[in-house]
Amino acid sequence: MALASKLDHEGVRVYCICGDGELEEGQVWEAAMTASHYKLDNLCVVVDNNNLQIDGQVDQVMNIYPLDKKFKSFGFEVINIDGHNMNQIINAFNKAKTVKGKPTAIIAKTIKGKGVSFMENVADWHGKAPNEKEYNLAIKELQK
Amino acid sequence: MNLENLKATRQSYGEKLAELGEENKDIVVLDADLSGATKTSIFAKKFPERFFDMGISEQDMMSTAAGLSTFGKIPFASSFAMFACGRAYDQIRNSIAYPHLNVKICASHAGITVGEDGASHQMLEDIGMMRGLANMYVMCTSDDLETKWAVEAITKIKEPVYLRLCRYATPQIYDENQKFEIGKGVQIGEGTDATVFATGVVVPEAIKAKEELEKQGINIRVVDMHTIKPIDEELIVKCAKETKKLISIEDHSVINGLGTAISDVLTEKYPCKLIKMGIKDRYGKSGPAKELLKYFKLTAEDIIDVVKNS
Ligand SMILES: [Mg+2]
Repeated sequence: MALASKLDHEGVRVYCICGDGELEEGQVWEAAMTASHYKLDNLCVVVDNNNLQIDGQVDQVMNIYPLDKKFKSFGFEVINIDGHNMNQIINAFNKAKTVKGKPTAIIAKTIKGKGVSFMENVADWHGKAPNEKEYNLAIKELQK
Repeated sequence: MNLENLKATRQSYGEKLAELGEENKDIVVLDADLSGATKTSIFAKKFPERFFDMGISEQDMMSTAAGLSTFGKIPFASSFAMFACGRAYDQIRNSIAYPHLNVKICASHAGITVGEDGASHQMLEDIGMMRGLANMYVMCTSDDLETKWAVEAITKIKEPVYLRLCRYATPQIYDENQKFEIGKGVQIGEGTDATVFATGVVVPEAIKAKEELEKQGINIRVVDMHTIKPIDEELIVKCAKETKKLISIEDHSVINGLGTAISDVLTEKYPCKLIKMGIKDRYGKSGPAKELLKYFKLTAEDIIDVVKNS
């Protein structure tokens, strides 16, 4: 999509959200090569870096770090942020728009299930829906 | 059939693509470091701004083609059949076929007729893999003109298409008067002793067999199944009713290929016996294509033998 919008100069910006466990897939790095090879400065990748995947902690399942160095060496502009800080998020998006000639990767440090005490940093909640009791409890905590 | 005029379907593909690129500016072409062999290089030379070499990254090539199509482009993605289907099946399934995107996967060097490169490069399962995908069209052409008609026709339909191309040169079968329609097999001859359903490089072998048998007083017909999906059910049933023996032949595994596609129709619509010629649950071999056709019993002589003796 980013390549297509470059072709027709449509000025479209493409945002791509990646999980961190997902970065273990080879295709992500094929795409990363393509993005910098074709100078896709209209592409902004956001990595949801919660260090959790289905089998557990990312660095223990299959170590993907150091992420910033990997993206940098693949030709990306890299911005590290706290993924729960709205000011940092907005600033990062604004900065990414000014980057020329290369794509941007925003590595957002996050906590899975943030704000819900029994969900925070628990890999088990990766693909599970809360039951009604858990749901009500979670909503109560989030409204605090 | 003009036996003097040999040409590989990959060459016809490359030529036609470059021609279509002139009138249709939406056509974009992607390749994975094999443009010289798949013949997309002809397009690349003419329209460098609409050609993307993705390097040896077939998965990303398929996903990029999918992305380009969402912006109204008509992407043609090419590599060897082995890599296009084998390495990027997931991307073809989930990023092209499932979202029903207008991407043309034109894969060359299919089958044992790749020749010397050997079993690791001889894709024998691609028809099966692509045929199993909902929304996907599957085609495999047999000569120069038919390939060009197919390339033009698939450009006009807004569907995901897999076009199987070959390295092995085939003679000219058709002339300009031949009618071509996606999904409609081409019946050659009216013989009632047998029908030989063929696709791709072995169609000329079937025609040679038909001509030779005619001299011996045995009259068969050949059906060139250039479209394997959607398959021409009507023609299959008609031939099953009109002819005594049914044979299928393909430079592909007998599992999940043209033969299977035909027997899928027969079991439901007109149960009868079908003899499947092809690669029989094994891998290919390295050697000159012509010799491999003999080794794997895919020549006119082998067809004649099957027509007469089984
Ligand atoms: Mg994660």
